[in-house]
Amino acid sequence: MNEFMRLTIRILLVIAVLLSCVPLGTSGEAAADLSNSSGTNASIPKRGGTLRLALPSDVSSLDPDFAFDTISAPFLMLLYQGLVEYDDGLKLLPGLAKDWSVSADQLTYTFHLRPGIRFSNGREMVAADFVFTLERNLDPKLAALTESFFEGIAGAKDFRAGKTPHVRGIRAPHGDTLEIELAAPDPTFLYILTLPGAFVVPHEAVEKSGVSFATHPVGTGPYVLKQWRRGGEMRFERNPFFPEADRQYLDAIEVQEGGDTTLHLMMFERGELDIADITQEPGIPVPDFLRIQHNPRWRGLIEDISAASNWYLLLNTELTPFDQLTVRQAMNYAIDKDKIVRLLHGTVIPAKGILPPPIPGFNPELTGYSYDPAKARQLLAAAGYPNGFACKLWLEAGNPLMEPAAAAIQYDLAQVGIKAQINPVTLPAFIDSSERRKTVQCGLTGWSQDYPDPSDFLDTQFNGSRITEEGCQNVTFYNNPKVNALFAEAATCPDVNRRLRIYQAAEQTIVSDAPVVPLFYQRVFALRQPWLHGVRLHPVLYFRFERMWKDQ
Amino acid sequence: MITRLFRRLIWSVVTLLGTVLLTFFLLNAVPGDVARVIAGSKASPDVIKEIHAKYHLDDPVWQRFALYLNQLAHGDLGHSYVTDQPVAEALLTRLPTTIALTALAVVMWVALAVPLGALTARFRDSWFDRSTLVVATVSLSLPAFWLARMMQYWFAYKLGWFPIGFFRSFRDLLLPAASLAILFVGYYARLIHTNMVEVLDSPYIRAARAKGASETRVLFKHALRNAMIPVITILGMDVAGLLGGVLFVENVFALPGIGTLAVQSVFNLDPPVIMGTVLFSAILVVGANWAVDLLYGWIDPRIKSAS
Amino acid sequence: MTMSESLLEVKALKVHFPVNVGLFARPTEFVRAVDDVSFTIAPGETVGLVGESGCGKTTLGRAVIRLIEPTGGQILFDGMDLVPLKGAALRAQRRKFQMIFQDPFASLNPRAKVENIIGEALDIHRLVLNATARRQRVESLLQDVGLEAAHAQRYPHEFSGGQRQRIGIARALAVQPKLIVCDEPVSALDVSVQAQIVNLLRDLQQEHGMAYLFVAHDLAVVRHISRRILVMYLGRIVESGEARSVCQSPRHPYTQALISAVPVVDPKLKRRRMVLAGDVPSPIHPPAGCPFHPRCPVAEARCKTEVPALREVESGHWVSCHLAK
Repeated sequence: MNEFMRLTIRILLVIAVLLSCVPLGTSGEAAADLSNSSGTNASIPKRGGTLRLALPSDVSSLDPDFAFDTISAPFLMLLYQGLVEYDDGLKLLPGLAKDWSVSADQLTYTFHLRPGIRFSNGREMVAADFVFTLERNLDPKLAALTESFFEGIAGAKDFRAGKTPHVRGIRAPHGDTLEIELAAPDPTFLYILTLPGAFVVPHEAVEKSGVSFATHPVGTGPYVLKQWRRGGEMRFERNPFFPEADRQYLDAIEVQEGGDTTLHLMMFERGELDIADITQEPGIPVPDFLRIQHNPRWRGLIEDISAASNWYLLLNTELTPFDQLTVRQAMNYAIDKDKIVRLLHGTVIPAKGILPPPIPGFNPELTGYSYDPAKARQLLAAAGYPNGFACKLWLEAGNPLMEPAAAAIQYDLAQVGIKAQINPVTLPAFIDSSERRKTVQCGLTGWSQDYPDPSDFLDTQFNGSRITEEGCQNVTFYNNPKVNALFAEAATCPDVNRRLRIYQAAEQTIVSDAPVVPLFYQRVFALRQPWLHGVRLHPVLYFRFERMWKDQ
Repeated sequence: MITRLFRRLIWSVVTLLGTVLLTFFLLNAVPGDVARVIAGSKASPDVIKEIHAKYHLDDPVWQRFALYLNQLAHGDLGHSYVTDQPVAEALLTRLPTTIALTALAVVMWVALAVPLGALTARFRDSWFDRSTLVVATVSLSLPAFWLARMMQYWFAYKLGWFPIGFFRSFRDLLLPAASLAILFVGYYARLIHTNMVEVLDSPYIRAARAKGASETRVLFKHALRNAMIPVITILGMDVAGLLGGVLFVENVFALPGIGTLAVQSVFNLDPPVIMGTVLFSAILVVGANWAVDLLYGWIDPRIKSAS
Repeated sequence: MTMSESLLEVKALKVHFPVNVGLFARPTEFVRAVDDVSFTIAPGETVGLVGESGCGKTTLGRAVIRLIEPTGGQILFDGMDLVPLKGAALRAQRRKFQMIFQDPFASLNPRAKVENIIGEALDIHRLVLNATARRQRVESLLQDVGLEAAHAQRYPHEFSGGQRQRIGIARALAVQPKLIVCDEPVSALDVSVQAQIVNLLRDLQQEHGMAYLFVAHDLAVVRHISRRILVMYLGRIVESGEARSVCQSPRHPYTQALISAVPVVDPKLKRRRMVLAGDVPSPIHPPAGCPFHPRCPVAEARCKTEVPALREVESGHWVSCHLAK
């Protein structure tokens, strides 16, 4: 009977709807029967295979002057190279420069370039290419994202002001020698050369492509961009002109763009992706974190590293009530960081200070604040707020780490009488507002490294002499002349150890002054398939696809 | 007739211009700076200033609007500030996906809704009719994102019958189209049901039966054709809306359609792309109105001779 | 008239509609729209069926040609009982009887051309060989009803009410039926047009020889066209007989009231006007005994308890009333 059959189907549909109330992720063994071996990373590299990856959204650009975020970084590393590069940790090794020397006054760096390096268009690289690359970066009309890092080069300011056609401090006396002169000594300068702005590009390709150089990149790196369908996929293949075989095991790297991390995880579990999530936030979707960790199939395939980034609650020292030290200290005592760590399933580490563990100068002995709500209430009363106060807590909407943290913080603050109203905004709006004077009272924010040096965390964010009306990265508008003086001293200090100690002293003062409540440091995870090797995470670059290989 | 057409055209242009104007000024009022999106969170204020200069972001609003209109008049939709991709190219590359998805979904739900609506009207108040009503109401009320995710979880991930996501072949569209279709089929089945019930009560249906026409003939040749007329209007508008992009399905299944582009552009505060997608949607809606009116006149003879 | 000669013989026809009580319960109450009705129609004869609104005459008319399902009884058409027929067998029989509907606006498919409205029955019953034959037949039918051949390409909304009714008649004629049930065919038309249509029907009957069951509430029109008249009240036939006989000497009080309500041309003629008291009782709960007794001006005690049988008071003139002579 036709009618009854249809009725039955309809009833089944209703049942199916009810069935689907089972939450996502309670089981989840995919169809393919894959071997359960923990597949250690130590196996013999083989040539061949395509690395299959996915990203939620397009990489914005593959032009090294316009890509400055952790997601595009590994792809830039496929296409380009700089003078120096990192080893497996934070030490710098020769890159395109086979060796270098620094003058006695610490101002002039002389690099000797490796011979026989070719761009992917076949042309041999010369020192003049670095002159072009760095001057392009400094060109104000271009608005390159990392230009400010290279302003310390002698003559850069004049060049940017249009007074000179070239930068005085960048010279190529021979085809294989590059000289860079600084306006003042800078112990972090070599690290600055690891930034994408210093990745060498050939002038003829840049001039020919114009803006579309972002989608038609030419560099000296191990891979070239074969195809990029925007909003679709990117495909990289080996650069035939690249000399080192041990950076080119994979035949190709394919990145599909679209979807979200849950979708990617599902695809990964079905064997369609080789790494589950390369967004580093944190690399395994937080809701699935525990399930994956406890799943014997995946447990041994998780790589992790402590990231050089920290998250904190900023307190605007120019706005009431956070202009009072006691109030800021009360905020520090009021918040239970262990609870936040539990909420985020252990994907973060509780923080006492500003510098995260991988950064030189990280101080495990730092005196921070314990979780003591009674003391917090005491301090609030002493400051004149026995019944607490109300405040607006800004954060980036939709951030998977900050939203749960904000809820926990709101609760903790309520326990001591502080009514925090959560104000989620888009990231650009958040940055705009927090960097504007007297706008954001308190907010949840974080900072990740540009290069592994304490100045990148402390000086940039807590130097009172750098405060501006807008676009100010000192978002707490903290201004302690003693600390400012320490920063000035450290900026030119040649002794590495002494420099670190100065920064540590500065950090301790800052933490005691409490312009922030340090919350946690991030960990970054990578979940790989058992047939993929070489996935060890790097503290700065995280992923280095050119060093990975697949079983055949 | 010509004056009517001309008047219609003028109003369409006015509608589009109004949409462009409203969107442009609303966009201007939104807090947040596209320069910050382009520059990233770490860039210095100098970079921000330079980006402002590059894109004339500091010019007065009216001036920028005039510039944009001038650009539009030359048929140029501009380039994305964030990716530098021409907006027209961004739209055109994503259009096939959205069209394919919409077409497939429409075919699915119409193919299901027509017999359901017709037969539940024929067997009014039977168990079949009542249970269909329940299921239709449920399907209408399902949250779209949840439904898409559930379909993906059970049929693609768990059972492996369909690909999980991305658009590499036609097969990838089946599950997303089905998710969309489920949301609409309930509404359309009931709509057709209601219209059919009304039509089936008409005397000319009784006359057709008196002639000796079989039930099938009565249902499909007489009743359905009359009942579908109002449905066509609604279908036209729904198709226009879908062609403007369905974000939740595109996002869950990672399909490169117009919806993703539209939402991404909003998060990026990317004016040319936002304007482009809004204008595109507006043109679709206006066009759909035209198409439906013409279609209406063609299928309903009473209106044809009136015009 | 012997039984074997009659074209249509209706025996004890019942049409009861259940009154919906709810989702699950069985209906316990019924609307007795047609309650134990029997009559015959001879070939080529016009039988008028009158009664007030709600008496069940339309239901009876539709039930007779099985547009509504009878609940009981027999309908013998040309000797074959239509009641048990189903599906294709029933549809095949529909060639023999057709219907003309009351509403000229709603009874034609607004989206179909006149050619298809009229010609569809030809296709269903395969009465024509090809498209040309069909077109010719449609055109000749149009001319039969007083329209033009060119009208075949037009749509219903392009015609007036009277013209649409003509199209409806052409539609019914197409299959050359032996019986046409006319369900209030002129009630919705202007008085001037009414006469035209009634005359058309008469002319067509003379030409083609089909029988009519002419259902109407207007006795004047019925009298004009019918040979015999059936008077219906609350689902039952209360009087039946030759038209002249029923109209000139009505025996049933209800018929008398109906006749007295018909306007006559002579203003000087005084007639006693019978106005019935009370409303029509509910067909779900008809009164006990004679269904008319609550409104009957001459009701007696017997009328309240005993249902009067249909008696032949004169030759061919039957009445269902205890007091009729």
